[in-house]
Amino acid sequence: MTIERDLGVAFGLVVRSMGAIKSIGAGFMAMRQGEVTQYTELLEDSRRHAVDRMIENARLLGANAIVAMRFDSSEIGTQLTEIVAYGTAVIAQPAS
Amino acid sequence: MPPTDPRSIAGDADRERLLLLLREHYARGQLDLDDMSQRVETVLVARYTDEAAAAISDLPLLSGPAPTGPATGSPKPGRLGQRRRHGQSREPGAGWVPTTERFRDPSTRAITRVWVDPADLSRHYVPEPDR
Repeated sequence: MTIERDLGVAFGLVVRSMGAIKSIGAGFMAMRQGEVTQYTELLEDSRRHAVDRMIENARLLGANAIVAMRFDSSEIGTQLTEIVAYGTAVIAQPAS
Repeated sequence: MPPTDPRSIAGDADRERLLLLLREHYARGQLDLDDMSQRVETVLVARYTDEAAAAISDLPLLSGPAPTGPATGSPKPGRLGQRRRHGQSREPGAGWVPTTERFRDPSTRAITRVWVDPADLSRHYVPEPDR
């Protein structure tokens, strides 16, 4: 693959809440050892959402590919989770 | 494991949906008659949805709601009682093109593939049929 042009950063951001009822469920789950499935589901969903938004933004820049894509996340308060997917939007040509 | 061929065979509903989109472009004056008939032929002779979708891939995205047609491409929500998830569909909509992107959904354990709707390039998450 050859990169023809670098179009700069493309990112997709989503802030999600777990919801009060699920939070309580997850709180009980968190007391014992193991996976907290409520959070796995929330974060999996949020990552998809962030990736989709990033791809949409990259298309607006005229890109046909994104390189060096990363996820980042942080918490806003105790209830909200922010997920951001970012990478470099490029115009790439497949190797012939 | 060799990569599986993500192509999907174009059916009647897929062709109908793409023809509907072409008709919409034509109605908006983005195509002349020659171009239109050439694209219609592409859709009709294509064996796979990606070949058929190539007929509209270079056209600007339709603004406003894309026509979905009778047997439609609107995503179907999951089972009743299951929370609707982002971009999740039970099965691919008409005209959708499969991508090579595939992963195991950690909640349902189903192998899920990403499909793209050529009308608005939106991405959809569809569980792979059991084989």
